[in-house]
Amino acid sequence: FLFPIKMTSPRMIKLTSNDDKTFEVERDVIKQSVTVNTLITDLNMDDEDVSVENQMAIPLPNVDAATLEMVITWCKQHREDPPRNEEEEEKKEKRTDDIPEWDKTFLDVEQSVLFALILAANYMDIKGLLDNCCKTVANMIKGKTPDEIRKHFNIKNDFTPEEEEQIRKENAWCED
Amino acid sequence: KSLMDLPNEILLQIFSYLDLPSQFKLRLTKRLDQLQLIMKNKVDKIDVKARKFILSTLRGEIRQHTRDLSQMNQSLNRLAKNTVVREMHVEEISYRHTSIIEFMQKFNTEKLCMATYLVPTSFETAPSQIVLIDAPFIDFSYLSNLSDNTKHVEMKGMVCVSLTASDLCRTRELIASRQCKMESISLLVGKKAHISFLKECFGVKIEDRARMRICSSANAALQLYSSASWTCEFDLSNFDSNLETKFVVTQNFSGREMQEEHLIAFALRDNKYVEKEKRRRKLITFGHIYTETY
Repeated sequence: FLFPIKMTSPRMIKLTSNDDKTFEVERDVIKQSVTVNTLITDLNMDDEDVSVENQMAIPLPNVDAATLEMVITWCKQHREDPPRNEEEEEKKEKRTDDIPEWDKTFLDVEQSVLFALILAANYMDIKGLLDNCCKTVANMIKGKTPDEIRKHFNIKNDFTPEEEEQIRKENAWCED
Repeated sequence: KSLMDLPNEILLQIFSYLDLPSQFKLRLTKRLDQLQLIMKNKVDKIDVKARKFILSTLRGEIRQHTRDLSQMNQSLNRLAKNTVVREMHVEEISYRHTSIIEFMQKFNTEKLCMATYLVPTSFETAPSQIVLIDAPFIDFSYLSNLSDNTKHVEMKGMVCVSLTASDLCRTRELIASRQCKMESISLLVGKKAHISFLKECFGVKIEDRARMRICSSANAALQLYSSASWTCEFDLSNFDSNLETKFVVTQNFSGREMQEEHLIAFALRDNKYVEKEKRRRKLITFGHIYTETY
């Protein structure tokens, strides 16, 4: 006799971007988003009897489809990461030279994409992604002069000439 | 989306990954400037000399040579607003550097050492002599500000001529109360304030009579411990619980002149230190006249 083996397929969750594109993602993958995780729990969406077809999609009004796709890719890559201990993370020395190689390549994108990803990671509360994005921006700032930073990020000057002179004097000690 | 579209909490997170010079360089708009002020930065050591500014962090040193004192003042003023410094050394102080000393009361630091400059003595073997300058701007309000922000303070060569015996008593009470950050301070004062302090604080009267310095007190319970050395004409300590009060007169030859320094120091000590010092020193009991010959 052959006994049928019950194969349990991974539980899937539906997410909808602000431009109405729906993504199906494994429950295990998206658990890295504290926002989505809390919604799933609060809305009792972990109920095994509800099929993914009948399941309500979680709307993410602050994230567009292209960014959400990137977020899901990042979460898939980091699904095996050990859970973060925020207390330990706070105590750690703030370094920017410890971004994993995969993330470095993944985050080597246009500034507008990177900042959209930061906003999405912040909204979806994905600490690991947010940290690595912020470290990437910090690395873009390090080693540059104020003028180079202003040019690189297209930051408009709103200081009066007097305020600018004051800043210049205060910054004298760290001039290159 | 651009950098300036990010909310403040994320910009602060980016700031937290930047070293101090990079944080300063990112002050490119009013908003970024204000956000930098929210950061709580830690620096290992800041050395300020007449024309030099050295800032040491765990990641290395930043050296800045400048002839522009106003520029140095502006930098220190800004750094003081949100930087905790473990150790702060200000050396080669002259009358030109009063503004730098002003800023020192604003820094949150564990240890602050301020000193004037050294000049070689006429004797080859004798150590260099520290130049004494009057520092009238160091008054009780200055010490009170320092006591909120600084744990240990040492001032060398700066004579706090504005401080009265009452100011010194109040400073001692501040430290003894343990309501402030300060645990120790050592400073030079004028001769009059020095002598009056001993009278006001301990009821000890000092009189100089023909090569004799006479200390007298009617308080038989008072315990002062003496430890005179070849440079110190007078070195008295009192241990009230764990608060040590030091009263020292030092005489040095500076060229042709005899230079007298009047030092007062207050420090919270542990039991071990107090016991050791009591054993090392000579106990003076009062109720009768005690004399030190010089």
